[in-house]
Amino acid sequence: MRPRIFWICAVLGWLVMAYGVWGLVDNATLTNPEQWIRWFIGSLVVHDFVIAPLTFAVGAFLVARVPRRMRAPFQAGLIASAVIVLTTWPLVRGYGLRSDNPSALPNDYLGGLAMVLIAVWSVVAAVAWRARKRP
Amino acid sequence: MNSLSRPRKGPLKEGAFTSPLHSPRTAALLGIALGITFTICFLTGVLSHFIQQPPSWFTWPSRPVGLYRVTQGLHVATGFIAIPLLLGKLWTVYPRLWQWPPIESPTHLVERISLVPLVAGSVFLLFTGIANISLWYPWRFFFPAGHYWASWITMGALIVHVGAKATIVRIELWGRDPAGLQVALDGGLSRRGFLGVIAGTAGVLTLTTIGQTLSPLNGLAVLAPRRPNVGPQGFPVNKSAASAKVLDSARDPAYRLRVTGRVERPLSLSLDELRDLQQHRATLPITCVEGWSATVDWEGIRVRELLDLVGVARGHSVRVESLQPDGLYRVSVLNPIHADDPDTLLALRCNGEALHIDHGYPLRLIGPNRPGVMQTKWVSELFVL
Repeated sequence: MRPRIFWICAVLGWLVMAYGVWGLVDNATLTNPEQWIRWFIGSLVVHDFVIAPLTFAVGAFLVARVPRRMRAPFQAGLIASAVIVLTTWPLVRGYGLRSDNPSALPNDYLGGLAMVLIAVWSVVAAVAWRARKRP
Repeated sequence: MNSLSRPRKGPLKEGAFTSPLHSPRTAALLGIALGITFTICFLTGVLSHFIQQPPSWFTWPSRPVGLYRVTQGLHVATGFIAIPLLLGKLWTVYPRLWQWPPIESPTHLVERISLVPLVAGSVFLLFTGIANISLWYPWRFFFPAGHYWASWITMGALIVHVGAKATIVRIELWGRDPAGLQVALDGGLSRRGFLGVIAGTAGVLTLTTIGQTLSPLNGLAVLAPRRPNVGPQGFPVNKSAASAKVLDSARDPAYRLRVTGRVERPLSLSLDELRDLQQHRATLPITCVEGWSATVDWEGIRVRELLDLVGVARGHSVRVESLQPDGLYRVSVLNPIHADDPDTLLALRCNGEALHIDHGYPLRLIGPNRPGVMQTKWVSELFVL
């Protein structure tokens, strides 16, 4: 038996979803539903069947090659780096650069990313160094 | 063996996922944090939508001057924070994608079907949001509309999910937990370590981007799409005069501002005549929907005083039109509160100079507490409604 809250939330949630679908279809000239649905479902497919399996595979491969007591800081560094690289990738590649507007994306993003990653791995190295001395 | 016995291959294999971090408690903690961030993003996003396309019952005030700057800065900053939370959460519950049997009961079916819009929508919203502020549009739909309606679908799916998980979250959070600091058998991260990394990553993303709206931290904003002090006359541009196709019309010596609509006597003013009217100053932020903002000193004519000149009483809305030949943002509407606010100006100058053409020369609208897309540039006409 499911508690009552399950059904209250299920009905409410599906009503809200129905409103979203209605809005999407009602504004079809702007939302271009055929195109939109590709990116919507594509988001799930790319995450669940590309990004996640890659994360597991690469993580397992790399972590297995690191001494046991370095593993935790190493994993931490990998997680932080992967998320930061993924988030800033469009900036680093400069997909949005436009010749008529130099104030858009004004930074050296590759340099900025490198600085941030150096900072992340410096912390990782410091933690690993301390862990080394522990019994 | 019946047909539902577990196929013993790949992720479906018993014990395919070994990490103790794939636990209900990790999922519950990350889920609560995600629920909070998504709710903040949703409320600030819906607010921004209402400001730009107000329903009849909604009136956006002109004060406090920087309110929209806060709500929209929060929208984008919270979106950044949600990225490591979402990826961590999806990693934590990933083994459940491959659970066997896939469906345990009719209610479980309802729960699992709702996960499709939840996962798709969450990834979609964060991906399209990040791409948008990075000015990257690889899709063929109008971003604000696609992002907005996706947010309703995602929040609906989130409500279903909260109902399905309420009991287990309560058990996990109120129960005793001896395992938080326990080091994994393989020497990997403990749960606290894992959550700490996610929080730390959110912190790094915040510190390196928030300076685009919080100018004291501008020096750290190495990964921000904008810097509040970079651009012509010391602040950023979103749409250039070239891309708006106004390079010629904005510099035309025959330029005139027309004040028309429900007025007693229509008015048409040349640039010199505009300069001869009483000039007022206001220090107001320009706040982009993309989450950056900059404080600028503006100088120009009060919209309210122009309305007095054409005999319009207080309490009217005004449509502000641009020289732009097309585009969804060539027009904006001042509601009566904004039209009558003494700080709502048609600016001729900013930061002590005549407006740069990319900032809207010869004349731009600037008012308190408005999204940048509603601060119409290259203004050609005020139409009183």
